[in-house]
Amino acid sequence: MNRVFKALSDPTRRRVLQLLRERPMTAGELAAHFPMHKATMSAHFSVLREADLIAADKHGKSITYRLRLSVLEDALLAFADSFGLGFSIPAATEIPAKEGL
Amino acid sequence: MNRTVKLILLGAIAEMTLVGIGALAWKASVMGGLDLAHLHRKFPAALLFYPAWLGACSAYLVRRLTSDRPRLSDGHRQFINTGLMAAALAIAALHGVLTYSFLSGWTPDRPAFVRLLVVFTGVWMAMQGNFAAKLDPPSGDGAPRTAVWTRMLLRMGWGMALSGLLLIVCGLAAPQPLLMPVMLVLGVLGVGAEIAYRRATRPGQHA
Repeated sequence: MNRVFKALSDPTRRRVLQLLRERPMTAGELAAHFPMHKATMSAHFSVLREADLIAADKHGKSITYRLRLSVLEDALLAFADSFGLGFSIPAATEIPAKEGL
Repeated sequence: MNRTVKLILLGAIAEMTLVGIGALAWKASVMGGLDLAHLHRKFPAALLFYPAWLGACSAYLVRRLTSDRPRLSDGHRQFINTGLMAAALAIAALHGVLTYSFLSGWTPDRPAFVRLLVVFTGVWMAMQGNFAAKLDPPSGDGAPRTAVWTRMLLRMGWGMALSGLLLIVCGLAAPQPLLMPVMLVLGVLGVGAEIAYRRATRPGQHA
């Protein structure tokens, strides 16, 4: 459970989960929503995967992430979002999508 | 379905069937023949209904587990297997209590018994709903789109978890006459949710 709390404490990771709620996305598609270096995003994905909040499917060179939330984890996500835990993320800027993050 | 689950299911069904028939036969012999009017009033139909019900549910789920169109994920299979095992043991235990009550004439404190059942069902539903939302999508022919599956399962999970919590609260605090209507309404909602789930996860759906 500690891993889940750690994963949900960061607004970037929460935003990733919100994006995945719409549909599964590749690492590149997700990274395009954040003004961050790909290594940073990769670390975020890794934390989410360790907490078992997302699942990764590898297709060739690209990795597609999909949501894997239990009801309790979804409730915690909503709670963390409502109370704005962590700090706010900077406005998204366009960064070219890179596959295989 | 692995061998342990099969053994537990078959064991539970056989045990309940034999115990149900045995209890009926023993009662008939004690009474010096079948007094149908008495049995009609006193014999709990659940003694024979439970094994039949568990058998029907198991047969349906075994069919789903063995189907490759679509093929359920390994996690989903394990989820169904564990649920079936736990359900078989819980139903067998309840069957035992009912049989004992039928044979000995002991009557449980009915309101407390019903409340216990409602709370137990609520805990069961909340737990199942919580973890059902996390199940991996099926694969192969006829598999729904991953996005549709994920969204639908999360909604279903929320529905089950909230229904479970409602049952727990009702079981602990609601007036006795309200319990059965609540169970019935939730049962109807459950059937509706299953139909919605099947429609949404049909192949080629864009929910």
